[in-house]
This record gives sequence, C-alpha cells and structure tokens, in this order.
Amino acid sequence: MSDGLHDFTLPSRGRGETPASTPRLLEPYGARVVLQPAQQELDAEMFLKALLEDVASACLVGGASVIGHLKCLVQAGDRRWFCNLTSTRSGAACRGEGDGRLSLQDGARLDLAVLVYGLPASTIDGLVGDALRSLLEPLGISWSKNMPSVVHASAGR
Amino acid sequence: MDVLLFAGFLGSGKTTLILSLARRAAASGSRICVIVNEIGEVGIDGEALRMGDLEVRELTAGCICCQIGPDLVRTLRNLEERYQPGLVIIEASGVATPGGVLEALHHYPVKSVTGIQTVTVVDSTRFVALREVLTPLIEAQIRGADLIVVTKVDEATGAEVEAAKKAVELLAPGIPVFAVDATDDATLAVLAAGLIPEEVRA
Repeated sequence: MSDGLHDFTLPSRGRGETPASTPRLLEPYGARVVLQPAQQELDAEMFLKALLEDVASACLVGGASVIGHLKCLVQAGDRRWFCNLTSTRSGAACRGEGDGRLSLQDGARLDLAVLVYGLPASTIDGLVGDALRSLLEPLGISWSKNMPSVVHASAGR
Repeated sequence: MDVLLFAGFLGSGKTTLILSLARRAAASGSRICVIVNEIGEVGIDGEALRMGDLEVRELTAGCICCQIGPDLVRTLRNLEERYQPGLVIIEASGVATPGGVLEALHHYPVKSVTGIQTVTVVDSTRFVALREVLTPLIEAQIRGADLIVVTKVDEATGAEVEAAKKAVELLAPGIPVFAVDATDDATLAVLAAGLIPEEVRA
C-alpha cells in the first residue's frame, strides 16, 4: 500500500524512542497458537487479558508508535472467548461463552492479531512468544506457534 | 439490495456496532449478510459476527479499498445469487477509506445494489490522538461518511467525547453525528431505524 493514505510518517520522537530502522508502516501480525492437551482448566478471560496487555505494553516499550488493535480468539471444544485491546489505558475487554473456564482436555486453539504501527512483524512475533512463555509455562501448558500465510478463525468448519 | 458500508480506524468499534444493529434487524426476520475485511491475515471479527448468527463472508487477503476491490464485488454478486439479502453490511478494514471502497463498487458495479450508505465509526477515546499522527487516513474516513457514529462514550471523558464530536463536525459539516456506547439501547434503536431500510426490517 503506498497511496499516501496508508503510509504515515511518524511524528518526531524523543532521542532513543524510535530506532532509525523502525518501519513507518503498519505491518499486520497474525499467529495461530496451539495449546496442547492438559489436565487443568484455563481461565480464558484472565489469560487473554494478560496476554494482550503484556503484548501491547511490550510493543510500546519496543518502539511501536500507535497501538491499532490487538485481538484474539481462543477455542476449546465448543467454547470460544474473544478479547481485544485498543489502548493500554483502557486495557483489554473479553467476552465469550460460559464462565470463562476452558477445559484443555483436548487442547485449544488461539488465534491472535496484532496491528500496531512502527514494529516489524518479526519483532512482534518475538514479543508474543515472550508473553506466551511467561503466561503458559508457569501453568505447565505446552504450546506451539505459527505465523500462517492466511488463517481464518472459522477454518476447517 | 441495500449496502451499508462501515469504515473507521482499527478498534473503533465497527464489529460491536454491526453486531448490535444486525441483531435488531435479524430479530425481525430480515435477511442480512455481512462482509468483513480485515487487514491482517488472521481473521477474528468474522467469527465474532457468526456468533451473532449472521451470514458472514471474510476477505482477509488485503484491503478492500485499494487491493481487493474486485474480490469485494465478486463476494457481493455471490451473496446476491445465493441469499438474495435485503441488506449487506460491509465492514471495511480499519485502514480503508470509504472513498476507496465506493470507487471499487462504482468501477465494478453490482446491478442489484440499489443504495449504498457509509457509516464511519469514531473511537472517542482515541480520535484526537490518532488524527494527530494518522491525519490523511483519519480525515479521509470522516470526509467519506454519510453518517458518523462516535463510540465508547462510556469509556471516554466528557472532554474527549466533545473534542471528537467537534472535530468530526468541522471535518464533515452537515453530516449527522451520533454518540453511543454499547449499552445505549435507545440510541442504537434510533440508529437501526435510520440505517436499516424499512422493507428490510419489515
């Protein structure tokens, strides 16, 4: 996209806030995370909220100039929970089915989209990996992450 | 069929607003389809809309205002053939301009489309800051609107809401501006009545 409407020159920032190599464009990031089957239940609301808030904060610290939208959907069995964040001030908001406790008996699938200005997708991928590690490893939940070419939340239905 | 095009920056509340309006229309038995365009490769909004029992098509291979206009037209034609909806709601990506989408629709006309209205959704909590750094996009989204909906008024301060309303009124003089939050049933009912054609609601 280079029609002048989708390209943006970032405002001048303080010294050290914006690395010289920071891209000026929005580079959409998406990932699909597979949570392996586990005995415990997952508190979906708490997990998704913490994930998005951790990633958003890390993006800002890492040099993102504008938080566009972070959103995710976790599906375990026939239950789904959504969460989205547009600013670290208001935090993430979640909604879904049931009381938010998801059984991981058959595993779960998490789709995540991070739309922020000023960071390449590869950097965002690292930040997402860090957040997942810090949230899931203490719970003993194994996971794997892909950056697919195209993922639809409804794929396979 | 009528087309309602929803534009507005990333996270402005387009999906939430569409869900609320479409549910009202669908409850009366109306045939409504939604086309959702997400800039990223991971489509999540489509699933959220499906949870509202809506017929949804997702376009995630690019932006419908500048990259995949022909895909949008093909999808509209396909919906017309298969469902004959009274109303198609298009949720543009957060970086789309209404003008770009309308240009695509004018360039590749869909005969059955009888009218197109554009609604631009504005996040009152972020509008002033976003306009400062993303000026061309944010202003193009406002200027292309037939109606503007200022959202998240329950999360914003009174000053933020007023600043957003004043700014959009200056950018798009004469265009109706509604301020709502997700639980404002009265305003949402007025919006639904104004945006969803009577024959679709009947």
